[in-house]
Amino acid sequence: MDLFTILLWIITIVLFIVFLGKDKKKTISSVKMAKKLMKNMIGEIIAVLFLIGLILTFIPPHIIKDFMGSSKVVLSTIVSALIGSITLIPAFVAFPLVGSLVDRGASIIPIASFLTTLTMVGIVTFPLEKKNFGTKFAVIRNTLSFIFALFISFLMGVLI
Amino acid sequence: MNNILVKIKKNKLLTLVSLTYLVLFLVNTDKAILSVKNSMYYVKEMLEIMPAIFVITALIEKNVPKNVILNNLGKNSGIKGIVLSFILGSFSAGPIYAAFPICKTLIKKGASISNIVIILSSWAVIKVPMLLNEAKFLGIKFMFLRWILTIISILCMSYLVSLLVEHANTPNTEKKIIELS
Repeated sequence: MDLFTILLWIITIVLFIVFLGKDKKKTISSVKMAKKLMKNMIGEIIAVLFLIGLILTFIPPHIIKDFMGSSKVVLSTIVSALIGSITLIPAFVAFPLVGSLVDRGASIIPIASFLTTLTMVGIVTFPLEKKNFGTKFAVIRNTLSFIFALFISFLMGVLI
Repeated sequence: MNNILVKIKKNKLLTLVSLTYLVLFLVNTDKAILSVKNSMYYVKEMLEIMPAIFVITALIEKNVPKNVILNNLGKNSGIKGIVLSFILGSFSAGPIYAAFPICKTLIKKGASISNIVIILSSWAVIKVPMLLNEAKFLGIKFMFLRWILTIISILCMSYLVSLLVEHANTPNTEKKIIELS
């Protein structure tokens, strides 16, 4: 286990004990909720984790480097943002996947743009958003999100 | 039989990946084993961190005083409203479409458009479990920088959307006007 994981477990246990002292019933029910949340996502999590293995086996590192490396960064960032906008996987499980790409030489700029549009731009949830908030709201929010995703990722390239 | 079909439909990606592995094991066992081996590092890392992340998420979700937040998001809520919107969005569990009905109710209750944009965006992007997972797989620096930039972007966006979209453009208020007339 790395330091981050150990720290996270310590924080979790401390928080748990503190809340347990404050309200036992509520804390027990939040553990049940955690179990339910995990159960809902476990299928997708396992799928993506094993998808990583396939990608790493069949796509050689030099191709990842060629397409997502620093040489074609503008094009790959825009393409990544588009892929992120239409992709269905939950962001929570996307992190190990993109982490594996970074480990193999992908630049962080397209990675950041993929992650940001994955969460902020929802092509799939667009009809639902439109129904709830009106077409104008949904179009403007999604368009702005796409533009800001590009802005965030290029700025990250400069700052990291 | 029907049960299995429902399960397959619910887990499309898992079905697809499982089938790919099945075929691969039959066609090229070496590559299949290599793929499993390549996955194992990420499987192990994920399993180590996952229970802790979900327990933290649930603890926060259960202990954030929702009602206090929901009543302070009106047009003149200012900085307080902005901060509360970020807290509500970031600390709630569940997918983005779970936020839609909540926000719809909030608009009806008079929450400002800019606060709604903040809630929706932070609900989608700045979630505690996601930040923890991001720090784990991409590093704390990457997570932190993207977090800061995202908050700045959401603030700009909420302002821009509130300039362009008025309350009257959202379906709820339209309905109200019809009802009134």
